[in-house]
Amino acid sequence: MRAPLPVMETGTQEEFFMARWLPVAVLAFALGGCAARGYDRGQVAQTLKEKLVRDSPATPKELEVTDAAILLALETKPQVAPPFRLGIHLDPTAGFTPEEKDRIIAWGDKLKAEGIVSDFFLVPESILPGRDWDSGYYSPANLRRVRLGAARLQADVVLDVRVQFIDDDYPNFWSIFYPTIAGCWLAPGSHKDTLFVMSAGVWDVRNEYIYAWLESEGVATTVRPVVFRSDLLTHPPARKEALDFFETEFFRRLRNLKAR
Amino acid sequence: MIRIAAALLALAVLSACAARGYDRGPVTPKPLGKYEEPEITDEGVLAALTRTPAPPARNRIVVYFDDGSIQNDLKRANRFLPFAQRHSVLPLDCGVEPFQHFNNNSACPAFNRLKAAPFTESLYGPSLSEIYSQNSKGPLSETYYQSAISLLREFGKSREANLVVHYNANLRLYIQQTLFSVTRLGLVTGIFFPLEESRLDLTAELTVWDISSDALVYAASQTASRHDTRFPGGYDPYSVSSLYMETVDRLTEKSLPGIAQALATGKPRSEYFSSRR
Repeated sequence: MRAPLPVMETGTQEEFFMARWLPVAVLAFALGGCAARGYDRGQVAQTLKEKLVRDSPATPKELEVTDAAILLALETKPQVAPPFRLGIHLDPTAGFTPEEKDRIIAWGDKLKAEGIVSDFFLVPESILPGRDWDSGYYSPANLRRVRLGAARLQADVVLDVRVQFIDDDYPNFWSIFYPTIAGCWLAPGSHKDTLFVMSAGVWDVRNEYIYAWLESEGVATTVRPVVFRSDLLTHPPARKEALDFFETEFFRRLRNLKAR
Repeated sequence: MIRIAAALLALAVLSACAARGYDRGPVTPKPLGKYEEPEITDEGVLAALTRTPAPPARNRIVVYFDDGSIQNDLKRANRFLPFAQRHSVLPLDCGVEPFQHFNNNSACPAFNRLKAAPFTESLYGPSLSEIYSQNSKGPLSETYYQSAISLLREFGKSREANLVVHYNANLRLYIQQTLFSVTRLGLVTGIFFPLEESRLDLTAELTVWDISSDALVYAASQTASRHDTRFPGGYDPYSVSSLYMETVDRLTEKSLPGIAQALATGKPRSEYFSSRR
């Protein structure tokens, strides 16, 4: 005699709903954590390279590296010794804030006191020839326009500061509450990371001799509800971190120059 | 129907949650044509190092306010677009009108300061069309500042002027939501609360050029910031223009001694003026 089949218990409608949708919710929760994160540093390098090629009017001839060019670079000698007149050109796309500019300009007083510079001043963007705003990185043509701008102010040496920043936005598990609307304000489901990179060369205005090369990075991260996600939360700390390190290195390199 | 209505409502509110703010990219210069900058050579750099201005004690000056950057900035922030299309930001227009017009415009205190400076004999503010009419090199280029200054020099020669004074300014706008933005949930209640706070950073630059020697006489920049709390309805563009006018006025006032000194010594000079000093 065949055994009777087990009788399936029938649950309430709420239980059925939970059993069906709970896995979906868990899956969405887990997927939120799978969002791509991290900076694509390869892309940064590619972007810089593209800018360099695009902004060089004499491409590809300008970029052609010959043995003669290497020998010429080896033979290039510094034209001045401290104290020199130092101009500083800031990347116009960087959006340096008034506070940051104040801080940078204040370096001049310290450098003068140490006998490293005789004068320290900004090289404004509007005295530079060539493309404005769409500044490329260290293409020969772009560097020459910065040197020409500095020469118009009779600078001996120019510090050319370039900036690149990347924002990385990605959700976390809490973002599943965003469809509840109130979750947009309450659930901390959005990450925002910022990488801020400063690179700068200290160039001889007369012959493009490079006295020093500096790079610094700052990173900041924040987790907020999506409504409160803002660049103002990550950019200032990332910039400050990069600028702190940059300042320290800048003074160290210039002091080394004086000690030579 | 209820579900559809709820979904539509959710979509509408979610759209209000979209990240908003500003485009941090560079301001696009005016696409003005084919004028080509002279090639920059090492010899040109060395020549610039030795070039010194030699203007007289009193000067015939051509002055020009470039409002293009500000206008572009405003247009790039989408919420300002309707305003920017309907009106030019009023005080900024003084720079592109002929002298006779904006001499009487009380919104141009910077211009009047320059006019009253001891080193000024006469002052002329050309209109864009007047500048273009002097252009023998073809249309202006996208390399806006320098080609504009180049044309101003040509214009100045035709008026027997010997100095060009050029102003430009750049603006950055930052916006973030306040805690009050949660009142957007109430849709109507939201209008009574400051939903956003913003920060404007502005840098104005002034350059003075000797027409005959093509030498830079003086360069200065002035920074300024303004913090605002924003109610729904967007940012007040007059706040931008008033900040611009205040800043160029302050820049001019602080620059006058430096310009006089550069003219007297024949040595180019660059100054930076902080918003906090």
